[in-house]
Amino acid sequence: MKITITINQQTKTLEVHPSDTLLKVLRREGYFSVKFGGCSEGECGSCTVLLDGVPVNSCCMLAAQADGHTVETVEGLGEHPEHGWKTTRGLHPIQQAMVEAGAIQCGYCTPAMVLAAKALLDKNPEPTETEVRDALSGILCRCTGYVKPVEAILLAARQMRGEQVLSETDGAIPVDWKPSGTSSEENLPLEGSPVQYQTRITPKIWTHPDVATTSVVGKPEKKVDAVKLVQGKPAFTDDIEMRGMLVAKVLHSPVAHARIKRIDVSKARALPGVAAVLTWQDIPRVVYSTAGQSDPIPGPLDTFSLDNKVRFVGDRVAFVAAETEEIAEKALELIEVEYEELPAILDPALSMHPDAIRIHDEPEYVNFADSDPTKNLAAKIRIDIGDVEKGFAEADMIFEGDYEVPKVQQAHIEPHVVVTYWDEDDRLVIRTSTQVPFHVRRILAPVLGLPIKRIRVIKPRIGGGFGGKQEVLIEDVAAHLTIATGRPVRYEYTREEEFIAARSRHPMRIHMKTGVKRDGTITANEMYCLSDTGAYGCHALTVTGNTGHKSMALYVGDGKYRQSPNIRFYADIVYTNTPPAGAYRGYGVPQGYWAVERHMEKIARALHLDPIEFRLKNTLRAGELHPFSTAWSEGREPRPEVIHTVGLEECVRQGKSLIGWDDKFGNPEWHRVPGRPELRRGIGVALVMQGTAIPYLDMGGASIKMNDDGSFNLLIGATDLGTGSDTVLAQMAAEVLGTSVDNIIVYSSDTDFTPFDKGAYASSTTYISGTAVVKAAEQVAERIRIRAAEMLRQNEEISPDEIRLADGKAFAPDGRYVTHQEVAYHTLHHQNQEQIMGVASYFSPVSPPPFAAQFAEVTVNIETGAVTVNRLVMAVDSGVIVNPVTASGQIEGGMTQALGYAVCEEMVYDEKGKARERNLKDYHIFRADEMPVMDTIFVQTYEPSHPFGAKAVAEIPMDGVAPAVGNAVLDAVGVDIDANPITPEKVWRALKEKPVIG
Amino acid sequence: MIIEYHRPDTLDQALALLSRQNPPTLPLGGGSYLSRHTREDVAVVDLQKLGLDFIESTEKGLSIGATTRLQTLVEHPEIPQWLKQAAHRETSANLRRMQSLAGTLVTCNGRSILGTVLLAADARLYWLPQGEEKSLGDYFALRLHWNQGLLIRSISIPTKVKVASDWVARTPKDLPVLVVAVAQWPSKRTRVVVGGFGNTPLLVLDGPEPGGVDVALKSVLKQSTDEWASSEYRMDVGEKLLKRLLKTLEALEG
Repeated sequence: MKITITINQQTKTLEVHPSDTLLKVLRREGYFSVKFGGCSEGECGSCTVLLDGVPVNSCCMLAAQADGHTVETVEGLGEHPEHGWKTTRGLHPIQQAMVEAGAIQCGYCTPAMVLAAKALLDKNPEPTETEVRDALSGILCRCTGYVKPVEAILLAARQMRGEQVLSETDGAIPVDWKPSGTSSEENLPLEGSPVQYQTRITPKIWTHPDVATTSVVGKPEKKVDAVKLVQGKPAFTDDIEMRGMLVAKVLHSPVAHARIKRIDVSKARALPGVAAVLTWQDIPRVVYSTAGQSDPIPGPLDTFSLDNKVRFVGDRVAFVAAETEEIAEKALELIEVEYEELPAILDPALSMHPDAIRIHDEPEYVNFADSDPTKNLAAKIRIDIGDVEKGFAEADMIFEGDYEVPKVQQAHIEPHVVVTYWDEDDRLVIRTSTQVPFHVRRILAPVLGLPIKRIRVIKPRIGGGFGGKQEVLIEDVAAHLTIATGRPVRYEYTREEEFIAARSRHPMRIHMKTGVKRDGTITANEMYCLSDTGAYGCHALTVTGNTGHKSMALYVGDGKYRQSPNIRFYADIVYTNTPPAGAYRGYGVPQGYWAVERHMEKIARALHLDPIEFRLKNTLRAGELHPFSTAWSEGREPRPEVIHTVGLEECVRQGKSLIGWDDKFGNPEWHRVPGRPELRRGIGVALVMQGTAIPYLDMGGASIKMNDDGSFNLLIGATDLGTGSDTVLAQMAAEVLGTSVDNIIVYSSDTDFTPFDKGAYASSTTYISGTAVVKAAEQVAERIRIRAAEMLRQNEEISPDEIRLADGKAFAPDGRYVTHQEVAYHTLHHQNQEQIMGVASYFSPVSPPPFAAQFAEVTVNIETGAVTVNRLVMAVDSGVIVNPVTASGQIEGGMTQALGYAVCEEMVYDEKGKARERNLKDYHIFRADEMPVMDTIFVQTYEPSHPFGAKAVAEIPMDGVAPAVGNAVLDAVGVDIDANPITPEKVWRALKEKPVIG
Repeated sequence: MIIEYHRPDTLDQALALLSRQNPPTLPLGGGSYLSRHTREDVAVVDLQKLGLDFIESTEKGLSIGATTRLQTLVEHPEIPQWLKQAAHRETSANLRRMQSLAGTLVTCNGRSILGTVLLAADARLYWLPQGEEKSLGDYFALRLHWNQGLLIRSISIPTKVKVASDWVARTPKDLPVLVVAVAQWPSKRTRVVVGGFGNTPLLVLDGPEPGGVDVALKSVLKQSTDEWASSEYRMDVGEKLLKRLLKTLEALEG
């Protein structure tokens, strides 16, 4: 059928099928700003367009419905301000505000937010924050925590009204918006709370005197990819069309554990439009691990692209490539499979039972360290530091407790997506949304039967990853089908596939045992962890190792115990017939801190000690040895490491002050809500530490070359998955080169063109890749200084060391200068020609941990058990902050994900292993209109092992929110919830056992 | 898959199309459900040109056109506060601008706050072509067996009624695990409905006054255990919410 739509003021007549969604047609027509979030019911809103000026989700309306209507996409809104001789409209004020406010992280949902904002401001030029949040409520963002997008829209509104705006960094502004509660708690006046301030665009920063003044580092530079992303440019993996491209689909197992007795694909292959159907019988049987890690993979090799056995509901059975998605889906229905069902293990406590069925009985299985498939054991950890039993013997009291954490999803809004094709040299190109392009190339080469040199992996922009894309998850599917058909193949997960067949955070059951003196000195601390890796052992050892390595390292004890801590961490990581767990931001550490920080709170209260003083008495301090550095290093040889910077006490001081701890904690009056006898307030804290990269392993590389105009190409293998790492790397290069960020043209990551980088994980990019960038930039700067010294030489020699680079110029000591452009012309064209360039790589012998104090304030309904988180404050010691806007964006987004871990996110399976959560309605992630107030404080210490004193910031916000909320619930109503998420029924049950008195 | 799309100009044309058996032909309101939920081959009849997006005052209250969007309910000055609140809480901003009221009632499950509240208010559906008015409760009870060829023209709601609702969810905007809605007429007629589970909200009581409602509530919630909450929880908390809501209604004027 033909339809006529006016798209961005251009009337188009289009041929569509009645079933075509508007999203599908718009993307087919090249409007790539309209994104697909994989959802089935319009939950994510990344496909938002304006239909007759009203924001709607184009994924769940038919193109035919738009016949005769007008459609607006971001492509029609604004454009880059520089298009050569042609005058452009420039960016729309909303787009400009999004850029200035740092509202863009991965940028996948940004076009949708811009359109929703436009519809709002067109109708209501003076919206309140509540109205802005309501307008954004249909667009899920997993990166930002909505703080900066909301502020950007308010900023745009002020600008569009013609009001004077001081600057994009005008600090805290009082707002009308208050956190919402359950129905009857909405608009609840929170007497006693401070005036509600949101952390605005820039966070609060406390700086240690050691921190040096810099020109570009430390400044809120705009993201280098912001202008591109705010326009919705075709920057993501799926934003290409290729002639003859096939659509891939995967048949997923409907049963939790079975052998495939018979599989008949003849009908599927015979279906017109089907190009290939592959089963385990059609491709080489190569065992590998999907974990995107360096060689050797620190875990078992237990996976095949396709196997004759399925190990969870959602496991792969067959691949299909067809001309259209509809044909591919029809082909899946035509595949006949006969399963010989086997007993399924769904409870990890049963995995190691002697009678348990063996999940991995394949002869190709390759052990790593203590993995033992005969016991369904993917990995095993036994770490003893000091003399734990002696420590327990010396304790006045022993505290034991059991804790549990659920399986949760990364829920990046861009699903896993890959496009593969043969290039003109018959090299296989894998264009993929990955955090680990170089690992993808290395790991897939044997699986595909290709040498590494015949594979090129391109990582375009990534619409969020959070560890979910530190996995070689779907690239092999498309690659096998390209090899089979010779044609380009595109494979993109649906949201349901994300839930049933992607990776997740490891669920764990944790037992804590702690010996304590009456004065609060910890004498010994022990954790046992039963970790469920699901059907495959990807990241099994390393994730769970970090559970102990980070969370059990924080509390070393005091006095003589501080000199020689007694710490035990044992873990069994077992297989079950559930979807595999893997990497998820925080990498095992949030699990550990749920147990450790809930446990510490209980001990402090039992000993009638101030919970913060008790903690600080026992925490690791500067100059002390990281207690685990002598015992464990991700399956590699451990090497002792001294911690040089610990800003934890200052974090506590700053955080306490901002949240008003001293006025609230222990104040019975504050805990009650006047006029609402069913409500109680509570306040809680958790102290946490993370790591910064993996020492002696993680390596990043960078190359920089100088262009004619004095700009520089910075080529990096590091992968910016929305975090802003391209920007902070550019800032560090600009600082060294004495230029501005807009003179650094960043390109990442392409295995053919950029240096190796291990990828974006382990909080390593700013630290590892950043140091590589600085080293490469120093080489370039040195060459510029040498050339400038020659150019500026008059009567006497000038030493290159005397040349100072700043503002795009090279200054002699007397103030004369040559510009970078003059240097470039001189070297490229005029005299003693040379290409000024630098290449460097870096790996670190240390992993300096960031520290943080996380505070939470809650209101608990003692009748229903409902918990409303009203406020989160996080004070973070991440060393020197290279970009306060992008860094605070990391904290805000991380706290929001962690908030879901605290109160609502979990993945539950029925007795057949089938998932309860298959979409973003049942798996609820926080929306813009239900967020608590969030504040970020940076405590800037100077980490001496980094050129600019930086430590990591990306993962630590995941660690403390859940236990701080748990501790706040305890403070509010006196009950302990030891298994997160803290749901209303769990609180209600606990209150039944221990009612609130008075 | 949707194999035919029709956009009739008149109700008669629409009804003629909807009466077809082959292919099965379904009404398309906002499209947010049907555009993604059809595995079998069907035809759809888009109702956008039929003028069914209206809100009119009637003797008994309001008549709301079937294709009226939820956001219109939120913004329209004549819509009572209890309905505005329920429509607003039903879903996010984008989907409120897409979902029609009738479409929401046809596709909702027991976790719908809007469905729960409208059932408590004894909303009635006006069906074409017969021109019959049936209660929402009757429709929910028989929804799976509803005849093809019928079309909701409008939904009637009373305005001389006090309605209060409350719910529990994991977060402020999460799907609720328990909803309680109470409607009370000037005559003291009282209707209590619970939701948060199952295929549709459930009527607890429709009586001349609220006596015995706590027993009825427990009876209805006794079998409500599902993967989201236990019946034990729902019975206990449901009773508390009900008490609170009855007090709220007492305090409300009118």
